[in-house]
Amino acid sequence: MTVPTLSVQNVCVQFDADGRELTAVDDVSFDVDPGRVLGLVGESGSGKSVTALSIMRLIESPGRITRGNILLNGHDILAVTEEEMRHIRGSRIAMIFQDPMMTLNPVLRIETQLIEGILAHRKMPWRDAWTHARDILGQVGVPSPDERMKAYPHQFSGGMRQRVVIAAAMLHEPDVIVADEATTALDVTTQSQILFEMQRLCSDRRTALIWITHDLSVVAGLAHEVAVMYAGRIVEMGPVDEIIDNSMHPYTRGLMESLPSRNQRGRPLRQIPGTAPSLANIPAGCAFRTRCGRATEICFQQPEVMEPRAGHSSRCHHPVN
Amino acid sequence: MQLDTMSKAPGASSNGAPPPLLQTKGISRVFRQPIDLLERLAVRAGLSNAKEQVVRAVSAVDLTISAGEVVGLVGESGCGKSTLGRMVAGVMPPSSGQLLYKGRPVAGLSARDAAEFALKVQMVFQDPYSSLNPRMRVRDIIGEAPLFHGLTTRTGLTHYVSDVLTQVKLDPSYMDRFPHQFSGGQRQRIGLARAMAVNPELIVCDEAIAALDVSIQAQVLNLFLELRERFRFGYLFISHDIGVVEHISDRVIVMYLGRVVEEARTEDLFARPNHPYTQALLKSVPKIEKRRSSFEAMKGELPSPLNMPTGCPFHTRCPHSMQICKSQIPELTDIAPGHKSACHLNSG
Repeated sequence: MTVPTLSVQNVCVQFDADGRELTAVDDVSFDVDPGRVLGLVGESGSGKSVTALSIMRLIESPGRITRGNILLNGHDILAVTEEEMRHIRGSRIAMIFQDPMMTLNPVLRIETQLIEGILAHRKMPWRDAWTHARDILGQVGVPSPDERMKAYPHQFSGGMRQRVVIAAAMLHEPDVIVADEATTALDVTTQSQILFEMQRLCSDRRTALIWITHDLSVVAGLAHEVAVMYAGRIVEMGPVDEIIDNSMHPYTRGLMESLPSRNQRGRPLRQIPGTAPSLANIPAGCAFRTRCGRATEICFQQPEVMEPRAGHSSRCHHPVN
Repeated sequence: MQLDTMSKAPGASSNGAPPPLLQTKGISRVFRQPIDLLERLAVRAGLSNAKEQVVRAVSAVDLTISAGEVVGLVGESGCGKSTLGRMVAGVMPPSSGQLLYKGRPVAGLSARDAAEFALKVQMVFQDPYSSLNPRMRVRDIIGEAPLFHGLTTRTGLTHYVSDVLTQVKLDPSYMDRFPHQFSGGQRQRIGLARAMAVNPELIVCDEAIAALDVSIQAQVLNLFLELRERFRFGYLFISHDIGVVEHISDRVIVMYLGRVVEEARTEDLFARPNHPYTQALLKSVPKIEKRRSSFEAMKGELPSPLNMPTGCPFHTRCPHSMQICKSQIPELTDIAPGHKSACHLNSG
């Protein structure tokens, strides 16, 4: 039995707001194995970004991780000191954000930033670090990397900036990369190029990849496993084909059926009524019951995780199949 | 209330068919960034060779939109689709070319007819946060234009606005609230209500659902479809989301670097894309049916509009690029009934 690269176990993240405890992430568990891609899908406010930040241990006050364990290669990173965490962050676990300018410093050359990232975790001559950075820049698909090393972030297009950020994440061949809406702001053509590179790089290096997005179609093409989040909980999880072709949770099903490609052209799309609840007003019991056509009395109680088919679990009292 | 003085106006084409609702003829838009005084002096003294920067956002576009038609406009960011949309809506004057409303040039309209044109073409914007005045109540956001143009009276305003709100499925009792009290999806409904309130014939939707969550996108898109059925207005639907465009459009226009490269009825475009750019674009679209696919990468990057390639704008990335493509801009020509493409491969 191999140890998963990353194992998130029963993690809860809570925020203090005016004396009330708001639960942004509620009892979230998943594993990612080496070279595998987990797609984490949800709408805004579903807790997917907070999950990502808790894996990086970057939740800031008034938020905190109140429960659970996060194991990297079997070691609990919630138990290590901040000093040790600094070594893990950037070298063993790397993160890619939606906006590349959250990662890049606008007033430093790309080479300065990449080399700083290398030397923060490894001792080597500057010249070697430069060569290493240049090589990685080339591998992520930045043309003429020798010249581009000297450029500043503003001299790159949005897609190229995101490649630089991916290069920065890849510098130390981390075990896990967490990408939070990394291609959402890009054009489909650029998105497709970057997904292509990510797929190749992660499978070559056996990197575990967590791809966070609201876009089911991207996840369908990229992920091996999919977890769907709603109001802070994972409501359904399983292999990508299972989730898309045999979804059990009414929310997942609703999302799938609202896609234009699953509807007759020009006809009204099937839609999920209502809007997602805000953190302060998450309905008790099943959080989706207020928008769900199958809800009954029992949905006022929190549904347990059920796994009727191997590897495919959901939290629903009335699963679709 | 109807200001339709122009339907009997001259401009009908010679065969008697009414002219299309809206037409552009060779419409272009150029943005210039002039060099500043210091730089100008430096150039004069021979110390600098700075040049005025010129971006050709839209180049010679011919576009026709018939009454009640839904036209989808797709392309990558920077291809000029928003600029074209703004010119069609009359909120940005073209640098050259003509915009015709029911066959008559908008530039030459009398004040009265220009006011009618301004009402008949409305816009819904992408960002539901910055497109509504945060200090105005919904009643005024929606009611301001109808009141000014005499579509309603001060006493009838409440009734008028609650009517429009009902049509976009918002509770009329929210009329006295401010935009910040609404969610993104609700704000986009308010934006649509504002556009609809003056009885338009065409609504230009610039990425109107792009900022919304997936489950809300479907709701708002359905509203667009339903209102079109009921009020018969047309849309120029600008979007980077090709799946959505395929779903709602009658006809699709593909732009690349300021030019229209292909134009066809929706079924034809998706079944038989002709232009190599359209083919590559459609291939890039992630689809739920494509599982564990290896994503196919279109080669190269979008060239900077400051530094446009010569000849066919796509030749730097085109897998079929030939000698002629580097020097000559291909014309947009008919390749099948209602299907146009601008590619030298078709003339071979």
